[in-house]
Order: sequence, then structure tokens, then C-alpha cells
Amino acid sequence: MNNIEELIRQTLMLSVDTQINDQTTPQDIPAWDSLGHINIITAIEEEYDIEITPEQIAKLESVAHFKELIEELS
Amino acid sequence: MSPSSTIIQSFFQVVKEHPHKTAIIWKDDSLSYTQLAQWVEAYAYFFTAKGVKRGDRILFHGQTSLRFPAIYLACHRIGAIAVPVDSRMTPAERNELFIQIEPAIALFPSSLETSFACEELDQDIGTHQPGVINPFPEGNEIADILFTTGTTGSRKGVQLTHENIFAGASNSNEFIGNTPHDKEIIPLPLHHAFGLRRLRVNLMMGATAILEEGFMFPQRFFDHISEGATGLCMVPTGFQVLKKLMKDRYIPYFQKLNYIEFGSMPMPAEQKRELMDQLPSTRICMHYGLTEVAANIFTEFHDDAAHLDTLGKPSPNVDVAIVDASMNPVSVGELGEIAVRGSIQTPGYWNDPERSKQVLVNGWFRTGDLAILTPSGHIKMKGRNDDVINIGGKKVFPQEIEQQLMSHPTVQDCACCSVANELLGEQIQAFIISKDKQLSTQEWVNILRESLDSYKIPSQFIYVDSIPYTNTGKKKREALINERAHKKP
Repeated sequence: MNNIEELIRQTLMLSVDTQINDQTTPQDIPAWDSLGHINIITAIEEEYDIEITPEQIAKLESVAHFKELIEELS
Repeated sequence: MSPSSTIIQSFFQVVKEHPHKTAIIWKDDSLSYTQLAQWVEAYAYFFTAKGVKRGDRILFHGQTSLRFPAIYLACHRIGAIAVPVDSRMTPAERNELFIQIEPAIALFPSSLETSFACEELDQDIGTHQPGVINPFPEGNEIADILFTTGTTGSRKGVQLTHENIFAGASNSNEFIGNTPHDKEIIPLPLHHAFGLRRLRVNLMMGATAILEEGFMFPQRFFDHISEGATGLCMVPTGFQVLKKLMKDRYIPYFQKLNYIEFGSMPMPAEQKRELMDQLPSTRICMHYGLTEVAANIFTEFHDDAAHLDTLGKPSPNVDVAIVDASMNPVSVGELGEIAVRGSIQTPGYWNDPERSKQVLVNGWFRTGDLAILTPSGHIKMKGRNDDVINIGGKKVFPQEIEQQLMSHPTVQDCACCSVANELLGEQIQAFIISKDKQLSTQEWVNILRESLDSYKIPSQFIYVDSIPYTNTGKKKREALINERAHKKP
């Protein structure tokens, strides 16, 4: 299974040396726009076989938030 | 409303009348009108001290922040020209713009790569500077130069006078009915005509502009509305993102809004109807506009319920005509080009008299968009002059086919393009983003046959993972074709 950083890198088609850590937010990565955000959420749902509700999506603002949610749902 | 005739004078009038009102909210920070005026004066002082003179250009990073409105208004305070730059530009694009604009000063974050000397955007300039004594600019002086990218990629610097931007803001105010009590969420880029107009509207009225960056954090929208936001401006794609992320959770929040202004892109009539049902007492407005001539056609979904397939009617104080190639008005129902006239009209492109001459004809601005006038006086868009596909002598607008494709539940996005065909001259290819990719060409043909004339039906249906767009949301059809041509063995 991919880690979340790698999944974001793949989904947004970023180069391998793009820095992504827990504090990374969409503002830090130009390719992480609204549509990129939807693609990341969809990719995570498929990769981890989970379903993220609108209420949970509404609070996803950084990589750390994604990690916490995946841990909670997996 | 203040009697001033420029945005900058109206702003200072509001500062006098409502010094303690909140002007701007951005993340956890806010500025009252007095505080924003102090920032404006400080930047004006800073620019003057750096030698910036009336008519000089000030190039600055257009990222949304508390500084943006202060820098923007400070340019106007000293009669300089504001040139806000798309924050997603590449270093090469920035450098090209610098050469083109020859600014007296440029402000960018030092983290960005530039090959020219510039001031650090985030430096502390100190907000307790003495006010500048420069006179306010006149209405006919250039206020802004906004760069737009066409679908073919060449950049145009649209010059707008103080009169233009004041008229654009006043006209949309007249249609939408903003009041100083409004608090509007602006999630659009501020370097772009739509977002910047909404910022001006709020600041000239003494309302509150709540800045947001894009549509991906819906909870913030909901929080703003719970805390009293009354209005929202957005583009249809942004709304699609919100819907996708939030399903129907946005409805109870959006129901509390007095108004929404949509713009910049067409929206299918079914979507408009759905929104009307969901938001029965919200004014749902939509404009047709260009940077060169602001929002010049408006519609309100509830009022225009019988004309949802049109752009609406001309904006207050603006002349709109449907004309032929010789600029003569065409008859009702006949296809022609949308031409616009009024005090919103650009005096022309920066350093590009040739291009200006092509669009400014006999006092009108030619939009390049094709439309018909309906018997009820509504204007119905048919497509872009540049996008028209010629199938055996018949005109086909890709937008019409795309609208039909988009109404199919499996289609997430699509673009129709023309490719050369020996027999027909041109042939239509449909590029489709679809989750299941199940339907064959024959099945698509059968589906489209129900709603389109046979010559409008694409001959090929190609599934793709993405559709390229310009930064302002226009489909890059040529890029799709070129990309595919390169991939062919």
C-alpha cells in the first residue's frame, strides 16, 4: 500500500522530489487545486477502501488531517 | 451611496463614514476600513518614496492576502497603474510580463524565482506613515492592467480606466442590489477580473469582503455563513467542486444567502433549475462578461425562469448589440457577434494598438462571441467565433455538443474539438472524462442522436484522464488535439 505522501504525489503527478510532510497544505503545491483535491480524496477512498463523508471532507485542510482520518476509518 | 466617481475616492468616503466597520476578513485576521486606509496610505508613501510616479506601473504578486487590497488601492491612491499577476505563473511568464510592462516597482515573495529586481512582498512597511498628498487620479486615467490568456495562449494586457472599473462595479451593484450591510465571500483569484470586481464592489459600498482561496475547504464557507455572510461569488466549476465534496450539505447554508453571483462560464439549464428549487429565496445571479467590458449581461434565475437557456439581458447602463461582420445589427433570431458599448469599455490593450483596433470598432467592443437575440430581448449564446467547427459548410458550436454530453450521468467533463477531414473539411472529436468508460462510439452516437442534428454528432469518442484548461477556466481544445497527435505511433 502506498503511503499518503506518495499517493498525493502520484495523483497530482508531482516530481519525486516534491516535499510533502504533515504540515503540507494545498496552498504549498500549485497543482493541488480544487479538482486535485477531489482526485486525492477519491484516490484515498480507493486505496484504503474507505468512504469519507462530506462532514469529514469539510475538515481536510492538511496532510496531517488526511492521516488522522485514514487512521480513524481504517 | 457616496457621490464619488472612482473606486479609490468611494473607498476613502466609506472610511470617513464607517471607520470601524470591517473591510476585509482573511483567515483569522481582519482589517477595519480605518486600518485598511492606514495600510493604503503606508503603501502609497512607500511607493512614492521609491520614486513611483503617476501613470507608472506597479507589478505585484496577485495571491490573496490582507495585503492585496492595500497594495491595489495604494496604486490608485497615487495615480499609478495596478498590475496584479497570477500567482501560478511560471518564472518565465513572470519575466516576460516584467519586460512587457516595464514597471516602476515590482513586489513578489522572495521565495519566488524572478530574473528582475523586486521588493519583498511581505516586508513590514510600517503602517504609521504620513499620508500622501497626491491628488486622486481622474476617471480617464488607467487604473489597472489585467492580463488575460486566450484559449490560444497569447497574453493580452487589458487596460481599464478608473471610470471603467467604477462603472463595472456600479452596474453590477445596480443589478444584484448590494448594500453596505453585506458580507460577501470572495473565493476567486483577485488578480482576475471577476474576483477583483467583487472586491471593488464591496469596498466602494462599505460592505465586508471575506476572502477565501478557492472552493476546496467548504467548512470555511459554512462557518462564514453561520457567522452572517450574506453573499457569495463563484464560478460554475467551483460550485461543482463544492457539490462533489459536500453532496447536498451546502443547501441549508446557501439558503441563508441573500445573493450569489455566478460568472465566467456557462451553466446547463438543468443545474440552474436545480439551484432555484434548492434556494427559493436567494437571488441567484449570473453574468456574461469579459475583462475588457466587465459584466455586461445579467440574469437572475428566478426572474428569468422562462429564459434559463439564455445569458439574460444587458446590464444596467450598458448597450449590447448582436452585429454582423460590418457591425450592423442583425435581425431577431439571426446569428451575430456580441458587441458591447458603455463606460465599462476598455480603451484598448497595453502596447498593442493593432489588437485594440481589431476589437474596438465604431465605438463598440467586439467580443468574438456569437449569439442570437430572442424576441423577448434575451441574448442566447451560441459559441466562440474561434471555436466554430465547419462541417461541410454548416456551423457547429462545440459548446452545444458538450452540453448534451455533460447531461449524461457518466460524464464528468468533456471537450469537443475539430480535426481536419479530407471529405468534410472538419470532423468532430469528443474527449470525455468518465468514471466507467463503458459506452462505445455507437452507443454515444445513439444517445446524442436524440438531441442533436446528425452533422453535429462527433465521429470519435475518446476517453481521457484530464481536459486542459487555461488559468481562467477556458478549455484548451487545441492542446487536446496536439497532445493526441503526439501520442500517435
